Amino acid sequence: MVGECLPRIVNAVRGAASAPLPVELREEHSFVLDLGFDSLAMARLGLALEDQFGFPILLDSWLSSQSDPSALTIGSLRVFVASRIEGHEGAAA
Amino acid sequence: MKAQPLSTETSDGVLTITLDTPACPVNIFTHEAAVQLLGIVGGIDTRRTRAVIFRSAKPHSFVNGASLMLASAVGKPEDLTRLTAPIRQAYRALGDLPIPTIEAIRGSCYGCGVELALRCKFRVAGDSYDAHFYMTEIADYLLVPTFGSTQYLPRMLGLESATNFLLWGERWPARRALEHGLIDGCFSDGELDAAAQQVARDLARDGTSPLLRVRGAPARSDVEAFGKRTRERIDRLPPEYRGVYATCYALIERAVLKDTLDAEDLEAEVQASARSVVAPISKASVGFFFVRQLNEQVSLRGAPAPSTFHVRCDMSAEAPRYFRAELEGRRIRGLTFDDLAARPGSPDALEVRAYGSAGLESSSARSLAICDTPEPAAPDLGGGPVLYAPAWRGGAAFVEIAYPEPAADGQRAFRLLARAGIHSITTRPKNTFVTNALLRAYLTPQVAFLAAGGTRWDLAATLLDLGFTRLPGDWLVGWDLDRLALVLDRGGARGVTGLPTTLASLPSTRELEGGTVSPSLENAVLASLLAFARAALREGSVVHPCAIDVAARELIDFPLGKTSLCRYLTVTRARRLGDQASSIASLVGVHVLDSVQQYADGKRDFYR
Repeated sequence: MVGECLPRIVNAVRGAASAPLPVELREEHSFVLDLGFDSLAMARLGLALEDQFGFPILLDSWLSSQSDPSALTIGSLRVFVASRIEGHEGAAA
Repeated sequence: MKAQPLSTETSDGVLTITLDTPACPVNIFTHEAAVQLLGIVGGIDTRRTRAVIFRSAKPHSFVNGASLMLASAVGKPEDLTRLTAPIRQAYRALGDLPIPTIEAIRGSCYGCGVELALRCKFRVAGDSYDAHFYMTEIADYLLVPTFGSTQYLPRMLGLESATNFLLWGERWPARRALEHGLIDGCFSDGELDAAAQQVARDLARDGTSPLLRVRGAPARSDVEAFGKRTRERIDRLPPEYRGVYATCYALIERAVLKDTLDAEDLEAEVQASARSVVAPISKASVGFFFVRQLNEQVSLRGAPAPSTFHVRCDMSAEAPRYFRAELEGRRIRGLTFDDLAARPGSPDALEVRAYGSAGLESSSARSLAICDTPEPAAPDLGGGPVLYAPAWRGGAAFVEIAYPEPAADGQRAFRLLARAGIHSITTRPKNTFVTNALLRAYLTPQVAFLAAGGTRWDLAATLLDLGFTRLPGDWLVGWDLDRLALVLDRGGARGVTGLPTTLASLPSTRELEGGTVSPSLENAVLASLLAFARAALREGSVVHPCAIDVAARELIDFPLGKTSLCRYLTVTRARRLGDQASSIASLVGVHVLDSVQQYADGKRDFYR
C-alpha cells in the first residue's frame, strides 16, 4: 500500500510546486532544500494530495514530526500519507 | 541556476537591496535570503556606499514572515536557536551597518518583517491598505517573537503602544504606524521609491532628511499600574494561553525598564521563543495557517487574480453604502468605485446591491447582493452570489459568500475581500445561511443553559475553560439581536421567552467573576458544533471542512489553541461526547446526539 502512494504523491508535488522541479523526483528530495517549497506551497500540497487521494489532509502534523525542515522529504511524506490511508481512525485526542 | 531572493543596484552611492522571494506571491524571509543578505552586507564598502535601502519587488507584500515550516519543524527548544541563527545574524549585520539604512515598505509587513524593519535606522512606507503592520506571533500562533521585537519595540514606541501592537495584535496601517512612531515617513504609494531614494541621499549628505518626521521620545507610562492592568487582562485569557502572554509581557516590561539594549536582552527573547515554540498550544495554532490557506485554495480553485477591481454600488441602499465605505477606508490598491446608477457601467465591474432589493431579479445575474443583518429566511440565490455578513457591523471581518454554483463574481468577491483583510468562506446554502447554522449551534446550548437556571458566570467560566478568548457578549455588540433571535428560534430555542434579552445578557470577558465550569455545557457546545459541521458537509452547504473551520474561527472565535473546529472534533472525541449523552440531552436536541453517535460510529475524522 505504501509503495502505491508514491505516483500520486509525485503528481501532487508537481501540481503544488511553484518553482521548477527536477525531471525525476526521488524520495530523498527535500521539499525545502531541493524543491523550493515554502509554507504557501505546502498549503497547496495539502489540497493537491486531497485531489489525489479523495479525503481532506492537513499536513501540520507531518511538518511538526521532523526535527528540521530539511528532513521534510518526499519519502517522509509518503510514509505520512500511507499512515493516514491505512486505518487511521481518530487523531490524537 | 536557482533564482536568488535578493538583488542589488547602486546609484549615486545608495545601495538598494530588493527582496523578491522566487515563485511565491508574497515575500518570505527564508534561510536563503538570510545567507544572501549576510553576504551583501558583508561586502559593503562604506567608503563608497553611503546609504542602504531595503525594499520589496512585490506590490502587496514587504515581508510576510519567515517560513512557518521553521516553527512547525522545531521539536526541541535548541532547534529554534540553531534554525534561526542565520536570520538573526543577517538582521544583526544590517543593524550594525555604520551608514544610514532605510526600509521602504510597500505591502504587508508582518512578524519578522517588522523585526527586519526595526534593524534599519529609518522606516518609510507607502500609504495604502496593503502597507500594514502586524505582529503575527502571539495573535496568530501563540509564539514569543524571535527576532528582537520585544526588545526594540517598547524602547521605540513606549510601553502601551508596544503592548497593544505586540501582545494584543493591533493591526496598523501606514498612517497609524507613523502616529505611533513605528515608521518615520509615509508617502503616497506611487512616490514611495523616489522618496526613499531622496531620504537616502539626504541622510548620506546631511545625516537628516526633511522628508522624515522628527521622532519624539516614546510616551512614558506608569509601568506598575499598566503592568497590573495587563496582567489582569492576561488572567482573563484561557489558562493555557496565559503562560506565553505573561512571558511576552515580561520581556516587554524588561525592555522598558532598561535603557540600553544588549545581546543578553535579545538572547533572553530567543530562549523564551524557543520554549514557546515547542508548546502543544503553539503547534496547534500554527496548524490553523494551513487551514486558512486551504480555504482560500478551495474557494478560488485557480481563479485568476486580477490586479484591479472596479465595484459599482447601489448607493440608494444602506448595505451597499456601508460596504463601499468599509472598503474605501481600507485604501486597497487598484480598487475603484462608482454609483450603480451611473451609466454606462464597466463590463468588468462587480455590481453590489442590497439583498432583497430589486437587484435579485434574474436579469442581473452577474450582480452581488449584500446582507449585513441576520436573515432568518431561506437564502434566495436566484440573482447571483450573496455576501452574507451579519457580523460586519459588530466589527467581525467575516463574510459568507453564498452562491448555488461556482461563479466568477463570487470568486472575484473572495479575492477582493481577502485583499481588504476580510476573511470569507464560499458556501452553497440550502435552508439557511451556513453562518446562521453556526450561530445556532454555538448559541442555542448557551441559551438553554441560562433558561435551565445556569448563571452567566458559570457560562463564562465554561467557555473560557474551553479556550474561547472572546465570549458572545464581546462580539455580539452592534448586532440586531431581535433578528438574531429570529435566526436562533428556528433552531430549537423556541419557547425561550425574551430571547433578545437573553442574548443581550450573554457574558463578556470584561465581567468574569469566579464562575464554575459546567462539563455538561462544555460537552453540549462541542456536540452541537459537531452536529452543525456534519450537517453542513452532508447537505453540501460547504464543500470542505476548512470553510467550517474559518467560519468558526472568525465568527465565534473558536480557540486557536485547538487548531480548528473540524481538526479538534475527532472521532475519538465524539465517542467521549457520546458517553456523556445523558448529561447533555437537556441542552441540545436529539438530532445533535444522533449526529454525534453517527460520527463516532463512522470512524472517519473530518481531516485525516
